Amino acid sequence: MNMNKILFASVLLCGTAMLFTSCKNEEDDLFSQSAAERLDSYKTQYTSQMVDNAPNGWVFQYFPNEETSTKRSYGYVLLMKFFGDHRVAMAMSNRYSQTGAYATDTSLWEVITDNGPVLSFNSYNECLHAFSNPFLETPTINYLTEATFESGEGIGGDYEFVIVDAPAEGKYVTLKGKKRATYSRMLALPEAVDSKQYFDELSQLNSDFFPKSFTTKCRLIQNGQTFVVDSMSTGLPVIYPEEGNATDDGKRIPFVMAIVGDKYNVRFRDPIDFSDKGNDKSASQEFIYNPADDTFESVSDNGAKLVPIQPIPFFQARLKGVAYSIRYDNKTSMSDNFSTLMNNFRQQQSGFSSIDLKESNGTMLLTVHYTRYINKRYTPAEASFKYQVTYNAEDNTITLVLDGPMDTIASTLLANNSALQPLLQAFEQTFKVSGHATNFSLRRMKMVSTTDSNMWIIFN
Amino acid sequence: MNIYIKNLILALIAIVTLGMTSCSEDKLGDTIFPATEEDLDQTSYTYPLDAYLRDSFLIPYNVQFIYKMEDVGTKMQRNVVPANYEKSVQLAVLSNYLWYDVYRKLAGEHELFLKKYSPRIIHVIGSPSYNSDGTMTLGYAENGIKITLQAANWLDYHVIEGLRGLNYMFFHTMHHEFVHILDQTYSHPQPFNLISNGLYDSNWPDTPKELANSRGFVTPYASAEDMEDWAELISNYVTMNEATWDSMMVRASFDYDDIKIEVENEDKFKDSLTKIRLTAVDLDSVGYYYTTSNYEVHWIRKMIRRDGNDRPQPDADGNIIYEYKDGINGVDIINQKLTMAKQWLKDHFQIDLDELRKEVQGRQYVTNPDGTYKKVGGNYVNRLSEVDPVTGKSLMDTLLEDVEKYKK
Repeated sequence: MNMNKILFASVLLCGTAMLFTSCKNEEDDLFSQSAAERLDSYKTQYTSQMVDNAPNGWVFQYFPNEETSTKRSYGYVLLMKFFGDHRVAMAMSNRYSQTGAYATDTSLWEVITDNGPVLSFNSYNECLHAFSNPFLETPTINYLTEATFESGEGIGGDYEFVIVDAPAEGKYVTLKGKKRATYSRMLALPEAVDSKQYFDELSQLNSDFFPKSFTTKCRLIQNGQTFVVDSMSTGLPVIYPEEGNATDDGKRIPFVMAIVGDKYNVRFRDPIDFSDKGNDKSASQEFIYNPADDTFESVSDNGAKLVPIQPIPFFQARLKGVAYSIRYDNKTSMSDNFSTLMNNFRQQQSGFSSIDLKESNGTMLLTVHYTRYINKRYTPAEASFKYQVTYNAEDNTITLVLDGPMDTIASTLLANNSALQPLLQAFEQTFKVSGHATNFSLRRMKMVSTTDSNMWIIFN
Repeated sequence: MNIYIKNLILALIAIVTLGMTSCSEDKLGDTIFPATEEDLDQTSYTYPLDAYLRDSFLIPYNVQFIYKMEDVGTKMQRNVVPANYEKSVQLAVLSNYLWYDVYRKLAGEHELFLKKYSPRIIHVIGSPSYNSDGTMTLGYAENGIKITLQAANWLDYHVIEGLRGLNYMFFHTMHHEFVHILDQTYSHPQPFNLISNGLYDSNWPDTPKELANSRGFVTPYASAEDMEDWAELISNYVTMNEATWDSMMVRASFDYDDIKIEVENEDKFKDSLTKIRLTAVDLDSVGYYYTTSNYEVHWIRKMIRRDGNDRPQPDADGNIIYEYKDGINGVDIINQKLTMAKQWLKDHFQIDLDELRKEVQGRQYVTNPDGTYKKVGGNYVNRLSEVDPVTGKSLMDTLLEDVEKYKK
């Protein structure tokens, strides 16, 4: 009987204890709404934002995939305008435009509820889906014969994007590709643009800053360290610490340049992170051009900058091996006074075509190209004139002092053409030297007189 | 019973009961999802197509026609792209006109047949998907519930036959996948599997059509396995026009040499080609060469009588003598299979396969008043794109008006 009493009491006690613990792990709701309700709410909100936050459309800085070493790795700019009836109009101008360099198309869009809110371009658009299509109809360009196209992979770009960050009143949206997990970004255009004109201007801008046929290097200064950024003109630069080298220490990160209002925006696909663990939150990714000092400044508050290399060391080295030239009639590449001097000489010497500058054995040679009438025919000829040259890297200037004709041909030309002397003397002064539009591209050399800023000339 | 035991049992019951009710439960409120009668957004650009699909597929047959591609509904190992909206409209009206409407008319149970056996989901994708063996997939069926139609962006209703034609790209695929679905309800007769037993070959992509036909398969893909053989047989019988079917049967009536050509080096390759060319008498014995996915080169030609030097040996009148050595009569086998298919459709679904074929082809090709097919230059005339001189419209224009009307 005692055992029964003990057993009864024990069971009662344990059961009661279990009763009180059964609700122990219930938690208070963290959100006032269920997950489904919140997702639905974001869907409605983002749908409105796509249309309302950018009435003039968006610039889409698109990185199709996560690769770093193939031709498929580049970034691209598209323009998009979203409409409330779920149409989206797109425009782009790049190698994947099926209808030529510039393409437009209209298709459908939707914010869907996936694992989170997803911006889905769920009907075919000739622009965006060119990066996803496993098959391209007109493989007329070399890169389209790569094995990847034959195997039906295409470029493998995303067309559905998780909406990672889209502030309610914000003028940007950060997206993450659903399959490739690369981050792309949309920036609202502050004013309406003509899309064809936009891409023409963007093409010119890229040509001014990072011309295709010219290797460009610049520097990234970030967190007290300096990095070399080599081959921006390829769209897939290699970045490495200045004290290292590209092979052992380099990272390839594609970037795109875009025009947003009056600002030039450069965005890399990934943060430029050289920390040991790859988790440097202050690593830069996006930059805005500052024309005052010709640099690209990081949009994050870390003071990072992309700076061009100094022109004088570059030109000083380059002029030793390469002649920079200009045609006499290239009026857009010289000031009126230079143009007048060129034309005056041309009127005396009708075969005069161009001049060029090149350094030879420590002497700058200005070579005049013209034609001579010999044995009843016009023969190309040239005459060179020597200048003493002094380079000043600190203030980026070059000083030329005229020595005189290099040979009898030059002497004869000078004697026979009174308009040649003033032209030669126009070069006998100090010039400030830079790239023609920016020092990020030194493909063309601009020389501006330090005594008269209205006197300038641009050599190719 | 001992009173303590009784009390123990009662206490346990009480504890369990209280335990079940002691934790608070969430109260269920109203649904968070909009529950309105009109569930389509009339301001949407796609409202006309959405309304058409609702009235032509969803309400009558409980079929969801998805043209806004759902990435999660595709094979994630493949890169594909969505369908162009205009192509989706065309595919929707053509699916209704050449598939659903046909079965509604001819199946014994009419609409009920489609409600019972139609896939519940048709998912349209813009591009084909590519496989590691170099082939591409135009469509597939999943568990009888869903059919995925790919390559919608290649749709051109002006072209019915050929590799980019409507039939090869879409409607043969639709009928093919539909046969699989019907097969899952009533399995095709087991004796069918024995007819070509031992001849099925997973290497079908490298099998030229002549060889496949001569072995009793309507297409090379039919030679993959018995289930595909069954589906290919019915779908191609329905969609191939008479001329195409008859050409296939002519090919099936011959035996073929399939000669592997040595290509280890260029000299051997040239020697082989020269030998074959020297032995050609007329086109009928020449054949052609093809390459396989593992870079072999083969020469295929009709089997004819040849001498010791591999030269054709015609009869006294100079006619080629065809030879038959493999013991397989391709024509007889295909006809035998067809008889089984016709019986199966009749028995289980009250569908006359010949009527089905006639109906489908009558909708694709213009017919003369006597019921024969109109031909121009030997080619069938496409009913979908042929412009009526009186109305100035084509049949396709009329079909598209069924979608356009919702714009109002």
